[in-house]
Amino acid sequence: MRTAKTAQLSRTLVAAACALTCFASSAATIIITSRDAPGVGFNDPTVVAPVGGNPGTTLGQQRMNVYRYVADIWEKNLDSAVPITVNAGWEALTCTASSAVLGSAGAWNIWNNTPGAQPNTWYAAALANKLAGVNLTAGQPDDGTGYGNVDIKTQFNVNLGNPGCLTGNTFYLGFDGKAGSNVNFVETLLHELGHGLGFSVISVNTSTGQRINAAGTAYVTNGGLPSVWEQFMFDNTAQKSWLNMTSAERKASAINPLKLAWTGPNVAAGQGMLKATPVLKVAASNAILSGNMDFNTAPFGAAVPATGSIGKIAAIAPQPNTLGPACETLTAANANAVRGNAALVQRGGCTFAIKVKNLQDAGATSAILYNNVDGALVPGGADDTITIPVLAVSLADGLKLQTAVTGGSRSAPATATGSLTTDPTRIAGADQFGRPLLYTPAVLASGSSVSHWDVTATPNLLMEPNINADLGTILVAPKDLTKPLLQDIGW
Amino acid sequence: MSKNLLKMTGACLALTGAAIMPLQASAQEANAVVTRDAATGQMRAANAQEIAALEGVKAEKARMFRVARKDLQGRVHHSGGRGARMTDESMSASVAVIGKDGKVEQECFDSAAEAETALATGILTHTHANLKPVLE
Repeated sequence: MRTAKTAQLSRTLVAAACALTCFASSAATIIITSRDAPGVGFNDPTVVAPVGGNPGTTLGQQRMNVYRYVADIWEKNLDSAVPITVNAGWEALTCTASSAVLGSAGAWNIWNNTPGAQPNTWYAAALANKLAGVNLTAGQPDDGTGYGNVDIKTQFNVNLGNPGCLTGNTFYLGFDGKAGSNVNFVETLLHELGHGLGFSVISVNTSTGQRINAAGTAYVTNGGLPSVWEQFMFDNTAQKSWLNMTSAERKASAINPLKLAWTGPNVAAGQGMLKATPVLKVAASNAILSGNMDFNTAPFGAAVPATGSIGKIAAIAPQPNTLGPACETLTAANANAVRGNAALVQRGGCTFAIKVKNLQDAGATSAILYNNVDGALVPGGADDTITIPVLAVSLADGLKLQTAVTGGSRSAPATATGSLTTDPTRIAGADQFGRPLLYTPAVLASGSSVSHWDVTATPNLLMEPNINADLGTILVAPKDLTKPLLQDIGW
Repeated sequence: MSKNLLKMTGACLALTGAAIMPLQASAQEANAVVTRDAATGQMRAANAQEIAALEGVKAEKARMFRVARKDLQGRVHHSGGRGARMTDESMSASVAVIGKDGKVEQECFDSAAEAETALATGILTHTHANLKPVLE
């Protein structure tokens, strides 16, 4: 007969085994709390069908299941003896029928000069707690919100997908990544929690370059403390670390395209995962016109292969009384020229989709678009009937190609062929030393986005500013550099 | 949303015809709730529905006060460390825009202001050439 004492011992052993298992499989604990009112957000009782591995049967349950799913991913990647606290809410954020704030997240508390941390340096609370071995906000007065002492605050748009709020495009709550035209909430939340955990310049206002003062009360032009993030930011133009910059220099560096590198050792160990820059290699009969060209791709047409020949490059002659090059059905002579070849066409007169469709209909096997103003070209548009790959090059390179295929003499016509390859001397998303770049777009209307990898990184990374469709949930090289960066700053 | 909830709760109370108040008479009764019955005018213990309505009002009231401050709040730790409670403005913010090609584009910004600016202009900048795509 099983005695009460035996049963208690068994329960204790089971509990101990579970604890060991838990500690072995999870190196951190993330506690999620909700601030939603009854019936709202996580408490939304709307009945829904399970989706993509999310077994929830109400909208509220499914939302919380995604939070838990994402928190579990982070738990497996982090190491901390101090539970990480996340407060979450679903709120009516800014939106229109065609645009919306999806959500926001970040470290809700930050610390400097706490045990285990580098002196005079700001840290996100979750990381500061880990380094100190204690919850630094425990016992601090709340601010009346009820969540003033949490490590990370998040909020997401409760109305997304409703009429008038990115109408028809809601959060996809499945775990399988099959978001379709909806917003992949797993990847979005994984990304945003990354910021809250410390993947952020955190204590610098990048619009001004100002830092938060040591007392934590204001952004100041002079005398503020750097964040731990800054020690790994190196501007290749200024030849300076952000640690040694003035506010004005940081402001300028934040919008200095493709020049701000990350220098941390853990990222350096994994940066080999980044691929060499794809290029169009041109072999012209006039050798002086041969060489590598950078190109962009279009959102329509077949994917541009990583390697391989695109064959002979052919230009078309001007067609009278048309809106622009390849804006109408090609003449017989032009169709004959591009058939079976890579068709070269300049921008202008009509959409890129129209041009490429006309080239495809004429028998071209690929299209090379080139700009009609200085600089690179990024074609947009859509046409599901286009099946040939599309490359886009700068005006300078386009004119060079035009010369390469139209010059020469009657007896020795100029020719050029193209092939797709990579330039091993240039890594996509990295500087000349192979160091990954932070995102510093020059054209951003307000501020910058240095708390992200540059969008040129290949393969796509979780912490690029945009959530790409090919992201996964592995946070280490050779898939991703999120965890190595967090290790650089102390995780 | 919050106003609607309050309206719903108010309607609920009006239907029951009851005014609900916590009883503060003794320690044993500290958690009791009484109400004035609309029909008899007498005080009586609130029923479960009335208590739920009261809890809803309290929760909503609490939620309405849960607005975070807009300025940094300095903190001091007994170890000598200093801290700051951040603001909603400092949070990273993710936005989505339906492009002219009908596809949803998504981008995360370093602050709420940058996200709002992107929404106002409809410009997301994350092309691989740091350029905005053009249609023609």
